Amino acid sequence: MSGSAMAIVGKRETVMPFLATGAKVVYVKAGECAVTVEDLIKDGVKIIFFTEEFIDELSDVLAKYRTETLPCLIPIPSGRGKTKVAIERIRGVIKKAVGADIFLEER
Amino acid sequence: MKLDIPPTRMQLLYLKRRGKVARRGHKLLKDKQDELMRRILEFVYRIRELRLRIEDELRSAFGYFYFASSKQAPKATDEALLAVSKSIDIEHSAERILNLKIPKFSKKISGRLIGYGFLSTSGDLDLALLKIDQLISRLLELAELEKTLELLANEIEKTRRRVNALEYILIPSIDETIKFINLKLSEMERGDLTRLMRVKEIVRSKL
Repeated sequence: MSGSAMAIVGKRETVMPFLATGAKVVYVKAGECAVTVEDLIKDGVKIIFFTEEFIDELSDVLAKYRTETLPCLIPIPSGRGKTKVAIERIRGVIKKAVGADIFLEER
Repeated sequence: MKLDIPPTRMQLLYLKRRGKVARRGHKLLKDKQDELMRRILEFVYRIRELRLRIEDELRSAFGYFYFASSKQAPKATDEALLAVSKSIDIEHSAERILNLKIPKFSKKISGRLIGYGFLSTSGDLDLALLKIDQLISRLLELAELEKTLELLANEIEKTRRRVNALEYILIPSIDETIKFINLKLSEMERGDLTRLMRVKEIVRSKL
């Protein structure tokens, strides 16, 4: 499969529809996400989308690549209800940089 | 805090030069910080809009997908997805914002999305896949923007630390040291003068 520059990581039932995009889709279970993502990065994958539920597991990996231009590690909603983790993450980043919470309230 | 430097005229000149450079550096960094701040504000609003929109669309696409997979045999869903012959190629280049390298992505898509028959799958599956397919360019944009935001935020943090170090530590201590050397030098001058006067007096009284 081509599309080696982009991968989508998540639970099987969540990320399966992404096969339609032609990107690489990797199924993971809880607890093995960090290792999988590290492997993907080593294989040269530049953009990795992962579902929000893995954001805590990946916090070390996220911190490691925070200052690098590539790879991009981006959380996407898992489609099941609203988890606000991804928005909270950006909010945190901005708060730290600007010193004020300018990401404004939700809709 | 006074710097540990001998109070000589040489050091005074050197310090004055250093103070000038520090002030110029401080101004430059401060300007950089302001510019970074302006950029980050631009990105914040774009990211917010984009993320909310993606969330909505993704939710509706997932909805269709779950609906479809509950209506048809699980195997049919798997087969349909395996039949997708599309492939996506990402090309990335770097753009510069100030001293930062930010990624830019462009995609090349080849192949067909729907490669399965109509018989065993429900129409909702087609809808779900089409929706997700349309989403991909927006996801790429989001990836770009979020990475840029992160890099900008890091740089702002770094710059702010530098600006503060210059403003509150280095420049004041240079100023203080310059003042100290000035005082010390004029004190030495006065000392020399009085000594000279005293010596002159002694010499005169012996004549």
